[in-house]
Amino acid sequence: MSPVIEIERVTKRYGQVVAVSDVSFALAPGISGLLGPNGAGKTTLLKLMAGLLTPSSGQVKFFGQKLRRHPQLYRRLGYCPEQNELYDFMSGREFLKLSAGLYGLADPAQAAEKALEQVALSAQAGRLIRVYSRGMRQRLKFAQSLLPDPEVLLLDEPLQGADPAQRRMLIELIRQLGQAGVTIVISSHVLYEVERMAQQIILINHGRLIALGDFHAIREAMDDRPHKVLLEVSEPQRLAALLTERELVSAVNLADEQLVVDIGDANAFYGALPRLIAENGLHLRRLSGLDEDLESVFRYLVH
Amino acid sequence: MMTATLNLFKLSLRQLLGRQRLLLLVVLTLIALIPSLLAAISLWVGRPLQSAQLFADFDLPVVLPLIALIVSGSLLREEIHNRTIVYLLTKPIARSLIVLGKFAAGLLLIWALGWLGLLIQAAVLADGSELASQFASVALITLAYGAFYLALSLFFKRALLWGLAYLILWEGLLTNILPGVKQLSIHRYAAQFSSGSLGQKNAALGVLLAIAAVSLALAAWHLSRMEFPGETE
Repeated sequence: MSPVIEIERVTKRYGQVVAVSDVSFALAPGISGLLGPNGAGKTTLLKLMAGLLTPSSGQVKFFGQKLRRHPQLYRRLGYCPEQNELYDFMSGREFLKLSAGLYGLADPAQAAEKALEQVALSAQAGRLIRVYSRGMRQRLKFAQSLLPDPEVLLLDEPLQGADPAQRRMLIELIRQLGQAGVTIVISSHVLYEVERMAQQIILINHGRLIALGDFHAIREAMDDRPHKVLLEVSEPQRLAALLTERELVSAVNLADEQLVVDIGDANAFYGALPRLIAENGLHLRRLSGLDEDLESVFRYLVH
Repeated sequence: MMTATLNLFKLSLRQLLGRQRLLLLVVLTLIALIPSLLAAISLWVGRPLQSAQLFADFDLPVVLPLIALIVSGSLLREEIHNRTIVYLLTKPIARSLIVLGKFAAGLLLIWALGWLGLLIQAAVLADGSELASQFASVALITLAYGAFYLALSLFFKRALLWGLAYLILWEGLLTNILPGVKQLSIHRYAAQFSSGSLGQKNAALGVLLAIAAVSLALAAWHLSRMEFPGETE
């Protein structure tokens, strides 16, 4: 099956500034998290995919074609921009009906109501957008991207401004859409939220692709980097000495009954630990990795 | 795609006629009524102006281009400035149709204002003998001016300023100083169409239609190449 979106050696320059540099990847159905710090090039990359920008070099293909040359392809795409500007003089419902009309849908009113329900905005849909909160605007933008039942959804920071309950609801909705076979690219700097949704991550920094692939696969491929592991053990000082003696850890920190260690070789550490605990009569109450989350992976990869 | 373009046309009309634009509509109506006011003053001072004279001296060089500039110059520029254009560009509508849909709505308003001005002017002077030809002139002349200003608004951020500069400096000043420049002004062909001989009318008709077509084509071409980067990332 050919990829839904193909980015082939794409570079985007603004004068001397390189916003995206020689980036290549292909996306298939499912949820991909586009991650990177502010100014990394996330919005530029999404706009390149949405046909709002053209690459300085390389090419972006949408179902094997260039979006700008084939505007009818927009019928298969939902785009939720980061910006909060909307047609403030309309009500939310009017905006969605209008957007559905612009998509050329047969029944714009029905499509608008369905999208309003999906983002739980039906109750406020009659109010002017002018009085909408940031969270409501966010949901309205998201709703307009859902109107054509798109095969591809490009979401630029879609959870910004939403309260915790709304975030949960939107995350669940995005997950459902991903499971239904929609190709979703979601940019965010709230990493733990992306981790809850995305099967794969695209990490960029300074316009360059840092890593791409399944989050856990990337994590496993990095097993030679130092990890922090927390241990709650009956005699933490003794365990610290044993681990250091056997060169299983590169650093130890003791606090109360907790021991935090930096490990270099995860296989050696986890292989030796059970025997060490048993042979020395120690009692291990808790063992957990402190940097298994996306934030830690991201920090490690970009620095 | 036609349904989508029709919806775009409706959106544009709503943007132009909505309550949020009330003040601008009042200003535009007042501009359209300037010749009628002058006609009323001329009657009051006992030196009534002729309808054709008013049309040639005020409607053609000032009122119609100004209305066309204010309406056409903001049609797409406002969408770009407000960053709402992204909701148009990511829909299955060719960018050329975005230009045409927007322009059609703007032109309708320009015509309505131009014709309203002419009707009141004719009522004030109690002279409607020129109305039919003046209506046709308004339709054609504003088509050319409107398309020209729409294209200008895509090429320049400060379209209103550039439009005014064209109107005042180019058409108002340079065409009177440098005779050759007159050939390159819309006003020359507008004047020929409204009061020239049959041959001149036909030639002016062709030029004005060509100006409109080329301007719209340039606008569509430029919009299709425009980029819309984000402010933040």
